[in-house]
Amino acid sequence: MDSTTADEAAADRDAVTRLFAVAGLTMADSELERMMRVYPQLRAQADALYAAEFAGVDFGLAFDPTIGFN
Amino acid sequence: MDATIEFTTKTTPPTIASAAADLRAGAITSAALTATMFERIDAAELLGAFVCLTRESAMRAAEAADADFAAGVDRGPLQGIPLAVKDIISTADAPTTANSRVLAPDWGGGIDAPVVTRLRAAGAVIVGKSTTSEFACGLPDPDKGFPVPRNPWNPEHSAGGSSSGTGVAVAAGLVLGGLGTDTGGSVRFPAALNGHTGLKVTYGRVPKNGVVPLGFTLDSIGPMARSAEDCALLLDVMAGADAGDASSARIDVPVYSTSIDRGLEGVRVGVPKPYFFDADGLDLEVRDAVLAAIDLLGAGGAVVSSTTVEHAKLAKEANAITMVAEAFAYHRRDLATRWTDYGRHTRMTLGRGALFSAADYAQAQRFRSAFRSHLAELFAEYDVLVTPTWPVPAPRIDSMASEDNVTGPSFCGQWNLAGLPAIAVPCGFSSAGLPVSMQIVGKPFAEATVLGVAHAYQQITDWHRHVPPDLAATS
Repeated sequence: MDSTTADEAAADRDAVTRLFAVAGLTMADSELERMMRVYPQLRAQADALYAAEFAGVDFGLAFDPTIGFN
Repeated sequence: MDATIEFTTKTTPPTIASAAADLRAGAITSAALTATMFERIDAAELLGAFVCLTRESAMRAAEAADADFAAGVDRGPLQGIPLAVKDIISTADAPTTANSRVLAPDWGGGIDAPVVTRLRAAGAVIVGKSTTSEFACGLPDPDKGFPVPRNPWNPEHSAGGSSSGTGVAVAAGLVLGGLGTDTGGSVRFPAALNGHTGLKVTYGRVPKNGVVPLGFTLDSIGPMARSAEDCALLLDVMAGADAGDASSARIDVPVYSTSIDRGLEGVRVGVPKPYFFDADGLDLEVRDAVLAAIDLLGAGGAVVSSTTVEHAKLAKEANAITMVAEAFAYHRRDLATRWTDYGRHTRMTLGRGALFSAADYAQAQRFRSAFRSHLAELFAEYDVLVTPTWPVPAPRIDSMASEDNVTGPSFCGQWNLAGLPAIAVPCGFSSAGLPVSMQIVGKPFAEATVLGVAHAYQQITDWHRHVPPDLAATS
């Protein structure tokens, strides 16, 4: 593992630990390890949504402001 | 008349349509049919199809249906028909558990969800609550005390999920139909793996109040049955707005069961080859069976051509991000305080929601908008798109992991993200004897079209009529 890859891996592990701490989730070390292994793929999938071609697109959901009013 | 009806797995269990005809002809009674279903359910206990059976209320409903027939009262084709209800849908005569130790025991308030009310008003007989993946996600955890659903074609293999129990029960002839829910494929996945028909409806087509939510903007309740015709008969009763569900659509409901005999002539079928037919992880037997099915559609008069669904893989991932984010909002408090009360696979899936940001969720909705616009353009050229439903035949239960849905391909979630109707239709078997399924996708609220294409295919094939080997002897 080169130093850049090692740094990224360490950053990912740190991010997972912090995100679960913020959410108040505590889990077994083995489960945390599994989450850390899958996290780079989850992050890459989310990051792909920020591609430039979607930059000018409207939000996909609408709401009806009349709901709940008689 | 005999107390039960003679059919074995050597003969095809009746469809809703055929049973409805037999009931009206006086050839069978609902009480006898329902008693037969309970005998088969008991004999097939190893399949883990049901969390709870409602024998007394079901037999009362069956006898009431028979009394109505005798009095000349006909509530429609579901009168006297035994059905299963997925155990995340509230019913008055049984608890709703979501197959979880976390859900409050009194969840649902002991009343029927509107979709169940509609089925009962149509004279249907609810035989019990069918197994679900916990909270409609994850995989079974045998340590939590709920039945582990097993594939009736090979009990060592998965029944799919999350509407596992209804899928198993329909395939094994334990009921004639039932309800599932679908957020990323949960009606179509078990339909594909167990070898029957299952329809994911347009978002809002069926009211979903009274259902434990998974993904608020993705969830739908869909019919599961042996044939497309039976799904249409169920949807005739299920569809339509309800005041208690703001997301249910105020759009006219056609009579689906009388609009499916439209044939294939001139139907424009798009076959999105990239991703759906070449993704890493797609089983070649599945691919070839679906391509053979498409050839039959063409031979039947459909106009078939290749096309491309742009960003299909990203759409699957955007659906997953949306689902876990929305589910995490619902479960966060319990995950923080009762982590180990959740099943070992469920908590790993739901916990991923903590790993996405608010901006990730918002950006997934922006992508969703772009994806829907692209599909709207595509559906100007096509009436339906056809893909494999699931990339592989049923895997072994002990080979599955909660990470599979992150790393592997999926051909279902795209349509939840876009809110479109999609039906799973049996189209063959693998060399190991496990069912294979094709998926037919349509425009918003074009359930009649996808049901019509599926029905036409089922008029020229009999894959949906195949039944698993008799499991009673091994139980």
